[in-house]
Amino acid sequence: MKREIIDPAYLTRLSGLNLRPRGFVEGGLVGQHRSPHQGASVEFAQHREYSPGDEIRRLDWKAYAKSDRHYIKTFEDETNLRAYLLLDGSNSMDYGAPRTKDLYAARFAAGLAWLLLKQGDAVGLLTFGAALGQYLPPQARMDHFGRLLRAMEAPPVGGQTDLLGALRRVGELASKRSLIVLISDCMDFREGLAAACRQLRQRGHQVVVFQILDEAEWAFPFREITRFEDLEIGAQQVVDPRAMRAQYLKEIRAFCDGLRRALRGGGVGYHRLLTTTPPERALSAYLHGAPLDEEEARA
Amino acid sequence: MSFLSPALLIGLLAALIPPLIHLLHRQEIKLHRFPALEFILRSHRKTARRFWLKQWLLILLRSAVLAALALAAARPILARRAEPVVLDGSAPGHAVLILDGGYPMRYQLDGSALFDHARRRAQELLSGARGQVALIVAGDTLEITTERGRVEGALDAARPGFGLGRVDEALPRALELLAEAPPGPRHIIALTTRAAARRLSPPPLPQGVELHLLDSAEGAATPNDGILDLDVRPAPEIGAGLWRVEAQLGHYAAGPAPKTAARLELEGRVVARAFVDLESGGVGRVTFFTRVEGRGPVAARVALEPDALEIDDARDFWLHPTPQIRLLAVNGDPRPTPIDDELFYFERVFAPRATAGLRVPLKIIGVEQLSAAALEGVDVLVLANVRALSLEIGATIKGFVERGGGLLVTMGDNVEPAGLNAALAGVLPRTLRDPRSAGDAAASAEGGDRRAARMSAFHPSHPILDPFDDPRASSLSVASIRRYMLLDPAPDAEGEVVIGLDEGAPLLLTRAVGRGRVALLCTSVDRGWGDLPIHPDFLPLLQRTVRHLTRISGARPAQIIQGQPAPIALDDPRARRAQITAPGGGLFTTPRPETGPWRFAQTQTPGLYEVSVDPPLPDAPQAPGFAVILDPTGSDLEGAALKDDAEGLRPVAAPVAARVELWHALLFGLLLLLLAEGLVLFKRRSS
Repeated sequence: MKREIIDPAYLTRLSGLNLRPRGFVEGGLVGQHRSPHQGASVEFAQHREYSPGDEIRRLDWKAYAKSDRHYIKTFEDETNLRAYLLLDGSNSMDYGAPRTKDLYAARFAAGLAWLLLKQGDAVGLLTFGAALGQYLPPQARMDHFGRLLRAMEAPPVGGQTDLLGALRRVGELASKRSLIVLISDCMDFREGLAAACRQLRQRGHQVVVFQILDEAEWAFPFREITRFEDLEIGAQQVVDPRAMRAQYLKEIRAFCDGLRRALRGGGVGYHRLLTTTPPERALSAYLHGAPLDEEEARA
Repeated sequence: MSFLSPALLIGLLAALIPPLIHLLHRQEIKLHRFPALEFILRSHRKTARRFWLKQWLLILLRSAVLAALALAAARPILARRAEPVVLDGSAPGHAVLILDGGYPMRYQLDGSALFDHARRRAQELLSGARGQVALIVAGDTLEITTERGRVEGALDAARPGFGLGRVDEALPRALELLAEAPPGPRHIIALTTRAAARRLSPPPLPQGVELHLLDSAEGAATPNDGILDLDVRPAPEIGAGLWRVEAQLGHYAAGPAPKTAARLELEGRVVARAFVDLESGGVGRVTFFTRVEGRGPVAARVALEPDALEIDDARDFWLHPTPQIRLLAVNGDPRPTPIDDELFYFERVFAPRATAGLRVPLKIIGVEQLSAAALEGVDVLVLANVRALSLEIGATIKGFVERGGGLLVTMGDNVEPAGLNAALAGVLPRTLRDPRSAGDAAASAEGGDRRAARMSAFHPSHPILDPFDDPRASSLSVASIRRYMLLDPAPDAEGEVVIGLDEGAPLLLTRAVGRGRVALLCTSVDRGWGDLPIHPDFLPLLQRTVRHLTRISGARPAQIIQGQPAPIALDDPRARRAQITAPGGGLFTTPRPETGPWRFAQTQTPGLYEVSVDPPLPDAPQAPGFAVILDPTGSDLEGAALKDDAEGLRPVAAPVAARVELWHALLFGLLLLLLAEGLVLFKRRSS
């Protein structure tokens, strides 16, 4: 079943972000992004609006003469930035209100893709769940955004989260140094997530992990005795939330903190997003280097 | 441990409700699909044990609350073979001690009275009591002490009375006192005799109140003899002026009592002795005959040999000298044939053998012999069918009556109303009018041919009618009055109608004139105007009328049960106040009531009471006294049935198995359980 991920208003709000390349400074891609002509190809890709910092020589004066606006001509091989968006579509992502985590993740990924495409970067997509889903190789054309959206709007893969499989696969696909963005709730408790990310990092890739969590997962607001059923493996447990809430909060915070320490220790970016945070605001904060939550601010 | 309401133990099933609710609720627990179950599992592993413990602790507490409630409702008790636990110092409780103060408690057992035994036992109970204790001494009155500090003093000061003891009245008061006591076990402990306990008919006891009847004799035998009744009456058949005294003796012991001695004493001097064989639990009779000399009453006593209960072994009573009434009858219609004589029946009424308790010298004269001299020494003058009197004689008669003499006027064919009216003006109760033949009105009313009137209206309390329990049931009511004298209607006339006819006319009237009295019989004393003289009750009617005219009261000595009001027999209208001398010498005065009978209520002490007019009146005869006697029911201490209705009454419960109620402890525990549940809940929620 097709899902509506974005609407024009969302893109309008994103356009106001006025993305700058420095947003990727954190990603270590500054050098590549500012030397777009290293390749031989000069195939025109599209125009894009001038942003302060663009080279003046790349202004399209003809377009300026026609429209009285500054556009920069971009070419297919203008940039060496390839972004791989790894979108978690496992069952654990099908949770949350008013929007589910997978919807939030898709909306966030779409916004990020749109911003990257808008500044001429190539964006690819790999969805996964228990298995690998759709794969769209990175392309820098704006019409690629439509394909990306359709892939995101497709029903999630489902099943149990297999983060390692997805990371392994993207490692195989990304021959050049790329930006690998993992958008997941990271509810894969097997050992090796940080190691896999570090391995990608060692291969020259920039890796950023966005952990998407629902407010209920983070704050555990339940009061009555409840039978909880796992979304992925179907296991059940009856608990009195009031009796174990403190312990739960302690556990999940320890998990997230441990994950952040492990990832950042290996040069991997880590950001936790609650679904209550609007995706455009989360993107804005991320691109401007602002902390996404209080813990991050403290860190 | 046992239960007062074991049926309510079914409520223990309510203890299953909390676990059942838990199990049912478990089926209805809301399912929530959740991605981070791993963290829940990790947390649960660390908190599950504590959670499980708290949950089942809550269930256990709630089950315990319900179980405690059911147990408390079933009223568990701990029973012990001992004196009442409520007073043994080990358990709180409220008690009312009832000490029987009846005269049977004067019974001497092992050197001291049963009352003292009961007092010591009450003191023992009191020394161990922890709750509120009240004391009711149920003697002649109820002496109630509710302040704990004064109970011991009241116990020391208590003395037995002369009545049967008012334990029956004390029980409702005890219930009232217990109703005001704080919550807790409540007991009524009555220390009494076995016989009194059997006679008790306790009121319905409210929930939580127990009645303990303790035998003051503690099971020891209490054999006793006593005088149950005295019948004192004139015995003219034996001899003029003789009294017959018959005593009824009771013997309440296991074995027979052969040759039980009884004696009759007059003024402290033994005048007769008798012996009687008494069977176990039986009643014997002994009879004495005696004569009383002199003009005043004599203190008399029937007594047995003293035993353990000495007070019921003697009974005092007054014996009066046989009164003498000098009677002068004027025969207005003398006949040679005795049976036709006007006074033929009258003479028989006052014959020596017929005048029980009276000596009546009767003198009969003709009308012409009536003079002032003839009235000398006469108590009562009878004018029977006298035609007329001179005014001079009339004045003489009036003076005679005013000085205290009695006058009885009867009718006959010879009577000339005008002549008598003139001579006895101011003396007769009403003015005579004409003779009337009875039956006309009655016959027409009934549609028959009856030719006589009947006596139907009797004064409700006139002393002339005292011999008759119910005059309407006597032979007076069937007497035929064929002819009678009509009287002028005079609503405001002095005097009162004693007997009236069914035709509305008065038949017998009395009136006081000066210090004397006048009676008017509107028919004849022979059979000329009716058959009244041949009816048996004509005799007591005339005797009583003559006695009334002379102000001599009934000859039978009055015996009043202790505590009952005694009638004051002072007929003299001049007596406005009576002075009563009690056996101990105590003086009481009581005024004549405006209405109703004259009675004396302070008859607490058994013995002889003297009555006199206060202030004394000249020429007034001595007022009869009365004797206050014990209620003979109390002579039976063993409980042998005096009446058939004693069967089925509550048996004596001595010694009583004491018991401690546990419901209040359970309720306290229930409160603690609720508090613990609240704490567990609070901790769970706060966590």
